[in-house]
Amino acid sequence: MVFALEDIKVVDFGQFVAGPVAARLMADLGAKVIKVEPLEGESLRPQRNSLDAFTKTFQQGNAGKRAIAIDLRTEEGVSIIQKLIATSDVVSNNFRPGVADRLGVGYEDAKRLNPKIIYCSAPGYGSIGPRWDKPGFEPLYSAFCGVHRNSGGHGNPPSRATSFDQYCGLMGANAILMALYHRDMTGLGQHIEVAQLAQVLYYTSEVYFTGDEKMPWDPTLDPEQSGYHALSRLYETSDDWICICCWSQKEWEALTNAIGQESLLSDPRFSTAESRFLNGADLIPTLKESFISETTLYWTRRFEELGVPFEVPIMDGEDQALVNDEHIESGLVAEHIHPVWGLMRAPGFAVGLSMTPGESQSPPPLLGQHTKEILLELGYTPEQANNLKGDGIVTWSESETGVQENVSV
Amino acid sequence: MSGPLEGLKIVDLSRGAAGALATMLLADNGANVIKVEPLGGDPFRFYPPLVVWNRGKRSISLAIGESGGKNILLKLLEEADVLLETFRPGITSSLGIDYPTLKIQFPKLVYCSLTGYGQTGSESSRPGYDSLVQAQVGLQWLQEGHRDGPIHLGFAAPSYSGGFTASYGILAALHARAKTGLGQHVDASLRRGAIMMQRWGWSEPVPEVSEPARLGMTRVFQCGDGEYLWTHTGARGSFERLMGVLGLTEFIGGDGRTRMDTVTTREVVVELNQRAEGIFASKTRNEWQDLLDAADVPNRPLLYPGEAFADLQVNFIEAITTVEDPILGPLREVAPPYRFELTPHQTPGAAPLAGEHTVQILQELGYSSEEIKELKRNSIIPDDVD
Repeated sequence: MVFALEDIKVVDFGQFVAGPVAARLMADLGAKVIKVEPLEGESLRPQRNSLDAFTKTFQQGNAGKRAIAIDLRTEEGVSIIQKLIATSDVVSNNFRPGVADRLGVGYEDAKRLNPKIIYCSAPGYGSIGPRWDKPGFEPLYSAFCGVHRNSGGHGNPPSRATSFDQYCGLMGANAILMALYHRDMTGLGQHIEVAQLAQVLYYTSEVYFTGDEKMPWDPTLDPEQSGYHALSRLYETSDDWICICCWSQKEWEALTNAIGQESLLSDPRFSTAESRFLNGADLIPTLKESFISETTLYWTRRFEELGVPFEVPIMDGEDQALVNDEHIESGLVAEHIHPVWGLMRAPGFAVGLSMTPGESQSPPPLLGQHTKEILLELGYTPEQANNLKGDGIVTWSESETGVQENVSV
Repeated sequence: MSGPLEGLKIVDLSRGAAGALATMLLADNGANVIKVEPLGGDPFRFYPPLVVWNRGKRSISLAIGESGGKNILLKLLEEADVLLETFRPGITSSLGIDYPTLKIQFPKLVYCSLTGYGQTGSESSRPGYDSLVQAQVGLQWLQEGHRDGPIHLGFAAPSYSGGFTASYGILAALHARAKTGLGQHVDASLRRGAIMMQRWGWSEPVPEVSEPARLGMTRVFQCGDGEYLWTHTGARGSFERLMGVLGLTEFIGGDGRTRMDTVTTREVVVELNQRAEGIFASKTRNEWQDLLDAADVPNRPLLYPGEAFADLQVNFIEAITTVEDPILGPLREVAPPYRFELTPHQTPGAAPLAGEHTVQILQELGYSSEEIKELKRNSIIPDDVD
């Protein structure tokens, strides 16, 4: 066995981000993923020969997959995809509830064709309740779950956080792998619902309430948006910034030494990790005053010498991450040749696996790039495939790059 | 059944947030997780979210640095499928529980290391705290805020992404084991998770592209009562419907089927946004929510943490659960996240106290009361557990 999921076939109806990312994370592990798209391409597929944020998002969500472009509103189109499902292990979609059933590729259809199928549905708000039929999008969920308030800081207007689409994709991949574990143990497939609202909420699981309606932990940043606590926080120095994190007794002692405030060690407010946690606000003025008095370089040297955990926040994270041979070697960054853009480096595999490392990635497929070869694999003759194309049931690109050139920017 | 992972046994040596999150996701879905803590307990127990993140696990307090403690750990591993550890690289070797060593005795073990920067490379020994990883990866300079300079994230991106990429790696390794009979080493890190999830759009080279101005209203508005509301116009036709609600139909162009990437000029975008802001300021958030819902324009209020717990949809899909904590009482927490048809999850049990199940677990391993007393005398386990 070379790749962990090399024996697993996935039919991916994902569109936009959360759905495609779940299947891409399967492809990274060697699963054979086929991306099913309508004839005009899924909603996020780039319509332009440019490399902007949109196309990068598409790129990252779909690397390592093959693609078939097919009209699922036709009987023949549906029967082709049903054949595909019959020989696959996993179906993944993020349609609104009911859409897959209407198309003939819902769970009941899939189970009839393939009793061992693992079928993952990732609707926005779930399949029941007053919002079940609403289309779901980030950043609506994260705004709703409080993350923009957390990011804004106490007393401030909100600040936008990251998009949680790809985080939802990671939750989808975990769910599918759990069902696969269960199938490996019992031989049984099943349906999983991964409502994106519930996933984003899970990413705020530090929020909870006691019986008296108190919230023991409020994840809202401090008003300066520098952190949650004096001992895990950004501080301004005389010329830059520095981030420290000193929870243990040893780290606390090193910090008091570094700033020349050893007298704090005998202060009962700061005698244990727990008391320091509770009384952190009392430390902020002292720490701010210390840090602002010297340069970041000064603190860097002092902290290295004394063992204070710190980092200097970097501005060029993208370059440092991608132009780094260590990251290529570990698989954190993957290289592939894109037909339009050439050699690309981008975040690669989410974890290192010693026996079954990540699959070497192919670039994201062009629209319908593998339509014909998939049809042949399903037993259609080349002539039948051509006829299906002629009848407008399927399509594939004849051009070298496959990029649609007839759309003006 | 209590979840798809029923029967899966995990020995969790992790400390702090990321490891606890990884095993929370697994325990929520039926895995049997034994948290192995040092005699004084996980040093991060003061951190309130761990009450949620440790739910449904059992805890044994054990001095694994002593040979008596290590022997008990090895006995636990005889029964286990997975080991998770979050020590800085090198510590497990000094304890004699590194992967190359344990692999000989336990070839089927899936061994996951979850650290700040991974097992190899020049930064692997740097301290892997969440805030520091944010700084080191460059996330803080990219975060928007109300002042200049780097901004701390309001979401523990490295911990969550590190934790859930670790569980993903563990589950992948378990499938490989089902095929080969062999375990392997999973090398997960907060940095790797954060780059994969938070900055996944990074790419090199970055060709120079001037972003065209686009028509769309995916943004936040402040309403007349000061509250904030997000609108999203990615769905086909939603931009036109929003323009209808706002009385701005002159901005609907072309064929009337605007996609989220319809291109226009900067001047038009600025004018549209200014006028929309003025219109949103004329009604309360509740009024706008009703109007936009009626017109099928995706929207959601921007809420404070915890407010979503009261939402009808959230409760309809049972995304909130109540965990009975023997000391803290009933706690309302975010529920396990998935709905498995065949293997629904149960309501999670409470988070254990440090070492709460020490004796119970030792008895399961076959230790007699005499032996347990001896372990207490030798400070291999705490002397106050029963």
